[in-house]
Amino acid sequence: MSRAAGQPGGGAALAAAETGKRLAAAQSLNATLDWSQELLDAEAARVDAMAERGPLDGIPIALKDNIVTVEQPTTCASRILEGYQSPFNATAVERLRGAGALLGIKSNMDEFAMGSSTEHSAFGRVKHPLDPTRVPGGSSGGSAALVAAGVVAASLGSETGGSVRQPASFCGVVGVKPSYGRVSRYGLVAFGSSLDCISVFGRTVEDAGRVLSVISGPDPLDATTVNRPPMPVPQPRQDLRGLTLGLPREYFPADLHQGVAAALTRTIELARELGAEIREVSLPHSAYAVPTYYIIAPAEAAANLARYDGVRYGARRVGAERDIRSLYRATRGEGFGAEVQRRILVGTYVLSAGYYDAYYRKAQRVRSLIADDFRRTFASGVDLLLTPTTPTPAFKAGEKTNDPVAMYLADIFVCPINLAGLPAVSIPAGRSEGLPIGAQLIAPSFDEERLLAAAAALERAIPAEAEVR
Amino acid sequence: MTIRRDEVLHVAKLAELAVPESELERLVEQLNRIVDYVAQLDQVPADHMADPFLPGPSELTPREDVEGAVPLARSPVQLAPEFKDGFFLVPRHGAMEDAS
Amino acid sequence: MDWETVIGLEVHVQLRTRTKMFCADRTTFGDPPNTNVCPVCLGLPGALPVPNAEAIRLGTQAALALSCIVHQTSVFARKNYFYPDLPKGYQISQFDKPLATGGSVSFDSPERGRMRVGITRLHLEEDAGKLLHDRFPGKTAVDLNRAGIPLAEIVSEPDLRSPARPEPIWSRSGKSWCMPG
Repeated sequence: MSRAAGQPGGGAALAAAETGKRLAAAQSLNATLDWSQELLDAEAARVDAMAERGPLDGIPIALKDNIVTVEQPTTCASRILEGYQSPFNATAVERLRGAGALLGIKSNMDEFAMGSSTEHSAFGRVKHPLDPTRVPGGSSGGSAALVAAGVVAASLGSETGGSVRQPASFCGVVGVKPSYGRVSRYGLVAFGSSLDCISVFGRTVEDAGRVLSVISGPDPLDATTVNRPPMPVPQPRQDLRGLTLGLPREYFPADLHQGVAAALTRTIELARELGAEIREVSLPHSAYAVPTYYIIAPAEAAANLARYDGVRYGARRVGAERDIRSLYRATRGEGFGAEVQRRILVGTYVLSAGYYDAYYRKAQRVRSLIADDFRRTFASGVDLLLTPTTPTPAFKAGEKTNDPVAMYLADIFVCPINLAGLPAVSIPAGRSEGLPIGAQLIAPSFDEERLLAAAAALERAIPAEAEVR
Repeated sequence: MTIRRDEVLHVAKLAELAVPESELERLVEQLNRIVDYVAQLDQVPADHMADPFLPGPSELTPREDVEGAVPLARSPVQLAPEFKDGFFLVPRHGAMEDAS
Repeated sequence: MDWETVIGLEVHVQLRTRTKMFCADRTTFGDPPNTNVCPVCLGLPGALPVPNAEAIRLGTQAALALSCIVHQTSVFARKNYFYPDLPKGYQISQFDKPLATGGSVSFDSPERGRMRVGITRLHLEEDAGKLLHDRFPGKTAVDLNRAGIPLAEIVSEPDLRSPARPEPIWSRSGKSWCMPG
């Protein structure tokens, strides 16, 4: 990842022109919600005028449209925020700007980050770059597609229940989720406050790691950031000698998709050849992760989305009665899409009197058990866990939209990690009938350096575009 | 059916969401599907219960009482759907009265 | 039938800080509407609350002045409801783990002699904005300068027996707010 030919001054302008061409060529993917050549050029001029070259100098980086920027609208792919222009930048955006990144692209997503296919955008679905009849995954499908299609070298997405690793796996790119508290959430539109993480897509682990090191680090504007220095760019390693990789049996069911199973078998073998010790482990509460997530996330979302009421910003519609309640109900009823409404209703239900203990309190405790499974395993001498990222390759558009639960199950291998707040990465691990498959590495909290160094070593060894047998 | 039609309407009211009559039945069905699915957690034995878990710092670090709020690149008047003389405006609820 | 008068009080006290409970806006009274506002107290997408150390300190002092037990760990929680003076659609308050519990205030009542009123709890929360219903016909005007100002909510046990008593209690303990520190 280097900006156009490493030229001093003017390099960003070239990158802006090239990126504009690629965006225009990739229009049919519907991966973007806002960009313009004027803005890219203006951003490039700003970068080229910087006195010091930053570590991301002139590199175009797309932003998921739930990360607020002053220069462009932030819609979260929702009609309720159509045209909303934030009066402040997210901290991650300020850090990227400070590092010289070329910004100006907001990418399409599932509305308010709720979804696993980017089919729930109010502005049309995103198409998989390798097969337009398929989904790129979600909710950060636009950001994933732009990297996979070679439009940008890296992009930011967000994860609440796997929304960067899952599309990374579907699209054949790298997706890194940092530890919760590693990257400031100030300026990330909140969905599930105890789960949300700004995360990174890149063509390689190294690229993603460089972006992550720029945006990570404590922020006085986000009290949930942990007081640790920013993650340094991981030191490359040649092999996996000295590392113990755990394979949790719950992530390798007997009926796992053949292509996924084959890709993982090959990956495990390569890890062995690189000198890793392989050990079978168990995370016994894994099966409860998706139901736990679908109580906690909607509950937090119901509260976080209460601010969208048409009073201070965003779209407003007044219903027949023309009073405050009708303003709320019409604005929200018409502004939110069906999946967002479902989640708000589930969330409100599980928090309501009489149900709070049975659902929400229970889910919080099961979350503990899930986090404990990981903690115990890492404490037993396992350095990293290796699993499939998704149970299948990218599915067809429309295949899962009729059954909300079927869609939720796409996150079965990624969402436990969000519940536990751990860092994880998905790397391309092969193709099955031409579709990418991802392998996932999971690390203990704040162990991103070792995670990414190991992932990079494995990445070098895997023939990611080769069909698996 | 765990959740009845009238309960869904009640929850929609709490969440200030207008649900058109034509979509109500499908919504009730889908919500039941979701709630029935997450109710699996009933299977986790009560004696295995741990304290709630939250990632991130174990305690909040408060900030000093010093002025310096994030400046707004756009003011309320530029953000608001309806704004007059410095105030956000909403339709008046019939029963409200001015407080002191 | 004879009725017995039983009174408990719930008082909201503004804590005298320079800035709001969860953001660094000024708390000055009487400024032009919506001029002491920022992303946090406007409830803008992406804004996050950061608690005010001085508000916590003042709340703790008030709790000690009321002879409460101050808890090492207390938790901020969201109280969810919709109203135009509530920018986030929830108020950040404290629910089952408040800052302090179990205190009391004693005073001399002319009619009843020495009296003791129990203090159930004291917790920290943020104020809502201000609504004006008569300024514009058919509309309610919203001013969020007050939204987010730190409050201590103090709840007493139902130990009072006549309505005339509350005033001496609170003006007495009102004085105590100025004394500590």
